[in-house]
Amino acid sequence: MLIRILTAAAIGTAGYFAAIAFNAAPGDPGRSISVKASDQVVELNFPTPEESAFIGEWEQLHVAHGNDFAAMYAAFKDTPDAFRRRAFRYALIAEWSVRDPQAALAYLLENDSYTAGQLAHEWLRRDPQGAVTGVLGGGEKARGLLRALLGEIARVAPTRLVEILAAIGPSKNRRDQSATNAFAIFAVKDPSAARAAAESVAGEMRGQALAGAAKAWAEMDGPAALAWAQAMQPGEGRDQALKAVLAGWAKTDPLAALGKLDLVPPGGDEMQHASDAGAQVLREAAKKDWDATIGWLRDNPGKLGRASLDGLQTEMTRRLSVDTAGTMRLLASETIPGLGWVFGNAILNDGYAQRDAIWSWLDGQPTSDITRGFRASLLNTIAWKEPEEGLRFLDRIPNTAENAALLQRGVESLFNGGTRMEQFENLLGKASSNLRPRLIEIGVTAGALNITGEPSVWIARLDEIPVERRAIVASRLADVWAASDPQAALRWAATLKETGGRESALEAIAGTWAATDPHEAARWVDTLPAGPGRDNASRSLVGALAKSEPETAWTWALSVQSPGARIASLQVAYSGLRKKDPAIAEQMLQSANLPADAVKTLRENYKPEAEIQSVPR
Amino acid sequence: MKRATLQTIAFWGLALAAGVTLGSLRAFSPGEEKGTRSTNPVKEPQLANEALTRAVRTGTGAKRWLLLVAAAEKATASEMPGIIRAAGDDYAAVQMLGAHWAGLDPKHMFASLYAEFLLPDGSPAALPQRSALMEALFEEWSKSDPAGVVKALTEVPNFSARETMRHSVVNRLMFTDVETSLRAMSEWNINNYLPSMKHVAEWAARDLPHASAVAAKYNRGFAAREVLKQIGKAWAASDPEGGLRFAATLDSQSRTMLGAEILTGWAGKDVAAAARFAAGQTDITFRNALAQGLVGAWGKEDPAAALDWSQENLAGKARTEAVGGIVAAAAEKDLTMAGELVARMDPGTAQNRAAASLFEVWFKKGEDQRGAAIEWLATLPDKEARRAAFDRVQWDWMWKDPQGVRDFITGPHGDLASSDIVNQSTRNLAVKNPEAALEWVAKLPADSKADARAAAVEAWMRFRPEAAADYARKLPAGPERDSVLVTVTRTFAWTAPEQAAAWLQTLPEGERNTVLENSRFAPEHLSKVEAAMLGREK
Repeated sequence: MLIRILTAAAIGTAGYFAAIAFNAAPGDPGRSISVKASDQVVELNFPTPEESAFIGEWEQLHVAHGNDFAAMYAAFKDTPDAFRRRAFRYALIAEWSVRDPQAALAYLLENDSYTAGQLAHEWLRRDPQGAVTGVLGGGEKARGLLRALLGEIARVAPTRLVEILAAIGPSKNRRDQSATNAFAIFAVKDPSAARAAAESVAGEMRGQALAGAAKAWAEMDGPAALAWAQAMQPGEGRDQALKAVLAGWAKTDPLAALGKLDLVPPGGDEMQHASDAGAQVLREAAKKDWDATIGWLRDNPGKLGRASLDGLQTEMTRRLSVDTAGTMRLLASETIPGLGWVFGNAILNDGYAQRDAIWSWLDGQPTSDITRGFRASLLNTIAWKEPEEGLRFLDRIPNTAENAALLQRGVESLFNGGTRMEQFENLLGKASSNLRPRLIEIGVTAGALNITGEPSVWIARLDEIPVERRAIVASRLADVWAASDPQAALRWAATLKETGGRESALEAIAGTWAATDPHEAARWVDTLPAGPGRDNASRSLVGALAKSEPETAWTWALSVQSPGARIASLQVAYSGLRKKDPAIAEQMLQSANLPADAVKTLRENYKPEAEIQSVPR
Repeated sequence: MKRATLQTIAFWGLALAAGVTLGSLRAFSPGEEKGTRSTNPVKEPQLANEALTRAVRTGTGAKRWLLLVAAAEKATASEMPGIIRAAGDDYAAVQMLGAHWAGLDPKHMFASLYAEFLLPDGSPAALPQRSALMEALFEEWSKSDPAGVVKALTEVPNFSARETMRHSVVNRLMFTDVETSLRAMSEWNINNYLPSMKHVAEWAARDLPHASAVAAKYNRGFAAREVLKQIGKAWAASDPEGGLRFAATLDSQSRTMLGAEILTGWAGKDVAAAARFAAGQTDITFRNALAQGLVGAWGKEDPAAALDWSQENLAGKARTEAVGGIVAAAAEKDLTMAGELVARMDPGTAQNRAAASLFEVWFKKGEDQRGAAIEWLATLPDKEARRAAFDRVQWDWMWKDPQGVRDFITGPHGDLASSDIVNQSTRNLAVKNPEAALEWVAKLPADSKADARAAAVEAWMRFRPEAAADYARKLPAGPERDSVLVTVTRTFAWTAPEQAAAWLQTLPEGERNTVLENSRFAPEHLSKVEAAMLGREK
C-alpha cells in the first residue's frame, strides 16, 4: 500500500513539474542587464552600448556635446516619445546634479521650471545639507521648490526644517499639510529633536509643526504626547497639537483616544470635509478596530455629531467593498444617529462602486424607514452621478403614494435640484411615460424654458401633467416665462381657463414683472379693469416695491379694493416705509384717510425685526 | 486485468491529474493572459530585479537611471511591474517606466492597474505611485488610440478609481482629440470639470462649423460651454455674421451661448452692426442673450448709447441685467463716470442693480480700494440695495479672507453684511471653536445676535451635540436661553427623534412644553419626537 502511495506521489509530482515546464513563460529574449550570482551577492553588470540602444545614444549625446549640459538638455527636451524624453531628462538631471547642481538649478528654473524640482530631489539624495543651502540661496523661485520636498528633507536633513519653514512661510493652499507631514517624519526618527524643533517654529506654521511632531509621538506613546500638548500655552497651536495627538494615538489605542475627545475643541474647517478632531480620531480608530469604535459610539450617543461621524467614511467604504451584505446588515441594525448620513456620503464617493450589490441587498429586505432611507440615498446618488442610469433605476420603483417622495427626490437629483438643466431635453427624451410628468414639472419650476426658449413646446407639455396639478404648473410656467418676456406670458395666461390657473398665472406674472421692471408692470396693471384680477396684480406690485420704493407701494396698496387684501397690502407697504423713514411713514399713514382701527392695526402689527415679505394671500 | 490493478492505475491516474492541475495553476497566476510571461518573477528576472532594486535605491547620479532604462527598454509588458517595483516609490522613475509600459501594451497596463485598485489599501503586492502610472498610461494611450481608451473606460466595471481615470482621460484627449473628449464627457456625465482648453482654438479653427456642431451636440457641461466660448471667439475674429447664421441652426441653448460670445467679439470691432443684428432678433431668449454680450463691449466705449439701446430693445430682467453689465463695463474704465451714470438713473430695480455692479467692480479693484468702495456703498439710501450690492462680493471675500470679513462685520459698516454672511462667518468660527464663536457673537449688533448665536449652536451640534446641549442647559433664563434650547431641540430632532426626546426630558416640564411649541416642527417630525418621548416614559 505504502509503495502504491509513494508511486502516486511521485507521479503527481512529475505531473506538477511537467505542467510548469509545459506552461512556463518563454525564455527572456535578452534583457540589457545581465546578472552574475554568487552564493551571497547578485551583481548587476552595467550594460554596454551593444547591449542597450539607450546607453549607446547616451554615450553619443556626450560625445556630441561634451560637458555642455544645457546643450544636451535642449537636444532631447522636445523628444515626442515620453519614455525616451523622460529617461534622457532624468538621467541628465541626475548627472548634472553631481557635476554642477547650482548651474543646473539656475538653468532649469529659467528654461524648464517644471523639472527643477527633480534636480532638487537628485541633489538632496546626494548631498542633503548642500542641497538645502543651495536651494535656499537660489532666490525666491528656487525656495518655492522646497515645500514639495519637505517630506524628503525631513528624512535626510531634518535639522534644516525650521530654517526652511521660516524662509518659505505658509502655503497659499489652506489644505496644505506638508509641514505637518514633515515634522511627523522627523518625529518618527527622533521624537525629542522633532518636538524641540517644532517648538522653535514661529508664526503661522507653528501649529502645523507641533501637530506633526505630536501625531507621530502619540503613535509611539499617547499619554506622554498628550501631557506634552496639554502643557502648551492655550491657543491655536495647542489645539492643533492636541487634535494631532488624539488622531495619532487612535492608530494604536482607539478607545483611549476617543475617551479624551472632550479635551480638545472640534477644530474643524467648514470648507474641508471631515477635518475636525472627532472625524480624524474616528477615521484612525475605525481603521484600527471597527467593532470597538462602533461600540464606543453606541455607548456614547451624542458625544460626536453627524459631521464628525464622516470620519468613518473611509473604513465604511472599504467594508462595503469586501462585505456588502454584512456591512449593510450592520448599518440597518445600528441605532447610532447619523450613521445613515455616513452611508450616503460613502456611496456618493468611492462606495458607489458597490451600487449594484447594495441595490440587490435592499431588494431582498423587507421595506422599513431604514431601508427606504438607504434606497433614497442610493437612488439620489445614481441620479446625480449617472442620470441616464438614474432613469432606469427610478423606473424600478413602483409609482405608489408610499414611494412618491422617493421618486420626487430621485427625479430632482437628476438635475441636481435644478442646477443642471442643460441635460433636461436629453433626459426627458429618454424618460418613461411614468416619469415624464415629474420631469416636466421640475423643468418648469427650474426655468428650463429660459434655456430652451421654446414656450410652445412647454405649453404642449402641460397636457402630460396630471389634471389636478396642471393649474399650479401652468402658473409656474407663466412665472418663469415672465422673467424673459412678460408680454408674451400675459397673452398666453389670458387664454387659460379660470380652472386652468388663469388668475394665479396672471398674479405670478405680475409678481415677476414687478420685481424686474416695476414701472412697466405698473403700466400694465393700470390697464386692468377693477376686480379681483387687478387687486391680485396690485398686491404683487406692492410686494415687489415695498423695499425699494415704499412710497409707490403705499399708493398701489391704497388702490386695492377688496378690504382684506387692502389692509394686508397696506401693512407690507407700511413696513417698508417705517424701515426707510419712520417720519414719512407716519405722515403717509395720517394723510391716507384710513379708519382709526385700520391705522391702529397697521401700527401694532409692524415688527421692526421682521423682513419685508410679499403680501400674504 | 485484476480489479486491484485497475484500482492502482486509476489511483495513479488521479495523482497525475492532480499534479498537472496544481502545476498548471502554479504556472498561470489568476488573470494572466496565456502567452505573456508571468508577472511572478521566475528566477533570473527575480534576481535581476533584486539587484536592480539595490542599485536604484542606493545609487546616485545618472547610473541608477541608466540601469532602469536599460532594464526597461527590452522588457515585455508583463515584466514592467517587476521593474517598476524595483524603482520603488520614486514618482519620476515610475512615471518614466509607466510611459514605456503604456507604449508596449496599454490594454495590459490598464488591466493591471484595474487589478491594482481592487487590492486592499496598503497591500504589499501593490505597485508604487499608482497616480504616476495612471497619468503615464492615459498620456500615451489617449494619443495612440483615443477610441480605445474611451471604450476601455466605458466598459470597465465600476471601481473606486474609475471617475479619476475618466477625468484624466478627457483631460489628455483635449490635447489630441477634442471631439472624442467632448463625446466622452457627455457619455460619462462629466459636467463640472474643466480640462485643458489649450488646443481648442487650434482644433476649432480647422473647421468652425464642424467644431460648433460638435460642441453643440455634446453641450451638457462646463467644458462644452467653455469650448463653445472659444469657438465663438474664433467666429467673431473671422466671420461674425457667418457664425451667427450658423448659430441660428443650433439648438436653443447652444445658439444662445455661441451667439452671445460671437456678439461680444463683434461688438468690440463694429458695435453698430452688432447692435443692429441683436435688435433684429425676434426670438426673445436669443435677443436677451445677445444683448448681454453686446452691452459688455459697448459699455466700455459709450455707456449712454448702450443704456438707450437696452431701454428700447429689452424688457424685464434682461434689461436690468444689461444695465448692470453696462455699468460694470463703464466702471472698469472710469469709476467716476460710472458713478455719475448710476446717480442719473431713476430709483428702482435697475438703479440698484447698476449700483451693485459699480460697487462690485470697485471692490474687486484691490485691497486698497475696498475701503473707498464700502464708504461709497454706505451712502446709498436704500438699505436693501446696499445689502444686495454687498452680497455680490461677500462670499468670495469670506473664502479668501475670513478674518477680514469678521472684522468688517463687527466694524462701522457691518450693517451692510447680510444675515447669511454673518451666520456663515459664525459657523466657520464655531466648527473650530464654538466657545470662541459665541464670544464673537456677543460683539455683534443686537439685531444680528440671536440668529448668529443659533448658527453657532447649530454648528456646534454637528460636531459635539452633547457639549452644545450642556452649554444650552446651563444658560440663565431669558430670551437667549429660549432660542438656544429651540435650536438644540430642532437639530436633535432632525438627526434622531430619540435623542431629541432624551434631551427634552432633561428640561423642566414647563420649559419642555414651551420649547416643543416654539420648535415649530413639521408634523412628521413632531409625531416622531412625541412617539419617542412616550416610548421613554414607558
